[in-house]
Amino acid sequence: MITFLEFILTGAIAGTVYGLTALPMSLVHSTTHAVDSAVGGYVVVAGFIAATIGGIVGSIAAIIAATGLSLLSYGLYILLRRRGPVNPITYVLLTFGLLTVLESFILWWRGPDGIVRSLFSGEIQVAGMSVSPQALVNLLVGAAVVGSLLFVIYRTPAGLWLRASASNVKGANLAGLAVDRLWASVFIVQGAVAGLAGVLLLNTAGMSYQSAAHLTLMAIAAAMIFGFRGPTTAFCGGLVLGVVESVAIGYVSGAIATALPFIIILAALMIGSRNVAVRA
Amino acid sequence: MTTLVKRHASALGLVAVVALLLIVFSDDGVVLGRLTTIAVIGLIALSVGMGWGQVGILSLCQAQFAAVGAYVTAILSVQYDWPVLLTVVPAAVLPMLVAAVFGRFLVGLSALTLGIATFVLARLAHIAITNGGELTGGFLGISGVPRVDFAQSQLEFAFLSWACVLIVLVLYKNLMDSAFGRALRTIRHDPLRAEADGIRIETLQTKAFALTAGVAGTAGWLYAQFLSYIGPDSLGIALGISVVLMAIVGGAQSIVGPLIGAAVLISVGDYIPVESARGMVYGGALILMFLLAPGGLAAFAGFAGTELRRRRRHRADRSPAPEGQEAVSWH
Repeated sequence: MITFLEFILTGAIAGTVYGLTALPMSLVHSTTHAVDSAVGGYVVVAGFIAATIGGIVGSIAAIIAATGLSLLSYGLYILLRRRGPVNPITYVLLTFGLLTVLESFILWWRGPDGIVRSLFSGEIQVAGMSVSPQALVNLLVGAAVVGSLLFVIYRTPAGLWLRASASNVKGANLAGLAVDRLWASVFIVQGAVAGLAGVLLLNTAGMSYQSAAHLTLMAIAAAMIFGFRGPTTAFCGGLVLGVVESVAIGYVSGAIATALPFIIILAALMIGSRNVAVRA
Repeated sequence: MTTLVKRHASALGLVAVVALLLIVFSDDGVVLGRLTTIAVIGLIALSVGMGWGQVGILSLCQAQFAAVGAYVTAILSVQYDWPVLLTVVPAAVLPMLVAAVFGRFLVGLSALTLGIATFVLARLAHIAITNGGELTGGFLGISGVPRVDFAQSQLEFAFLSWACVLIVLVLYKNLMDSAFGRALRTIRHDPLRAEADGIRIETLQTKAFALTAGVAGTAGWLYAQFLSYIGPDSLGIALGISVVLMAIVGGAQSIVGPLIGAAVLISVGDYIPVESARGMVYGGALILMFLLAPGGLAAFAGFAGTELRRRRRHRADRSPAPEGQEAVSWH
């Protein structure tokens, strides 16, 4: 039983990173109806910058860099919108190009080897389970980010403006809201949270240039599990994926253990997509 | 005959240019190798273009369908001593069957979900191949795949590859001009209209998805012979992404667009001294293409040609009337 709980806890730690990647992506989707598929790239770039510079300064630089990349993505979105209404899949493919650029940049800059950093040594005992202190940090940061975002979205005027611009762009514009600036702020939040996820991932499981596409895949799957309903469910979807991955690796051996999370993602995508269709 | 040539003008023109290049550079192994690579990878990109450009199915697992075709060729010819020429049938049919089975469940999904689902399928295929034991050779792969008897030299094989490209292009064009192709285009542009017309959308999309897998499988048949080796990373996930970029950069909705995209990106990639930086060029090209020419290079070339002809006509209309003729004034 303890082992099972340990697997769940380990999964939740990895799931926090998936959730923190899915959450801002879902926030952008809820607001603009566009999916930024380069978000995995921001996470990995942030992680590599944090590792290269090191310390608190490195972590701050990582978050700033991820925010800058997210703003660049918003700039591309604006350029697309100037041509007329944006087909959501066009933006997905365009940011897919950005993801390819970022992956290649990391490969060129740091080579194919992965990196990992450990801030804590040893483990602590929680309810009879051995837990890494980093695990608790991840869970606390994840909870703090979700709590803060929910507070901003549902309890502040800025959140109200954001929801207004998401449900009716024309109406929000006519009411005098600066929709473009509001959306830019969402992309800033996306970059900052992705940067934070990068720093956490660096200290948890580490990363390589190939992690970017994997993280994007996990983030979209996490958001899809509950049908792209919003940031909170996307975060929960990330936790679910992390737990499933951990339990599969723990209890099943060989190729099936590697394949099982992907089979579950496939099922989740199909069920999640049907949910979206039903709601539409 | 003239109508036939006119109908397939773009495909014939492209293949004629390549045939000329093959004759001119018949002694240059590097050029022959590059042209064969363009044909093989271009066929996989073409299968992406068929799916995304004509049917709206964004598939990121076309390289894995090609891998299935390549493994079938390698297994049957190396382990079971089949004549390589015969293996083209199972190499094309098996990916079609796999696509038909998965297609039944996938084609109803939204474009984004379908893209991600096919990416997951690609990962699963990679896991299956690396864990295939003696059958697939695991991480080592299978080497010593023979070539068909009539294409042993590099030049002959390059001609064979481009002959396959020409056959696929002609069949593709005919298919898109048929009732089946028109129905697919209707589904792509107006699914509600297609449903009202009594078109069985998911069945047709599944068939089209299977056909794209067949084209990719044929490319795999060529690939296994070209390198006489196939391994888990030969036609891997990275290539699956690259061929999508090639199809979009070249123009997924155009018949020859994906081949043009493959030719441009492979040629440019070969001139980049650092291999790891190729992704920056590919990704950058995709971004630029979406911003400057959303229809891809083929559509851009078509637009430029039309614009040039229009300007030439406009200049001719404004030129002074020949001697002996008076300019007509309408005022």
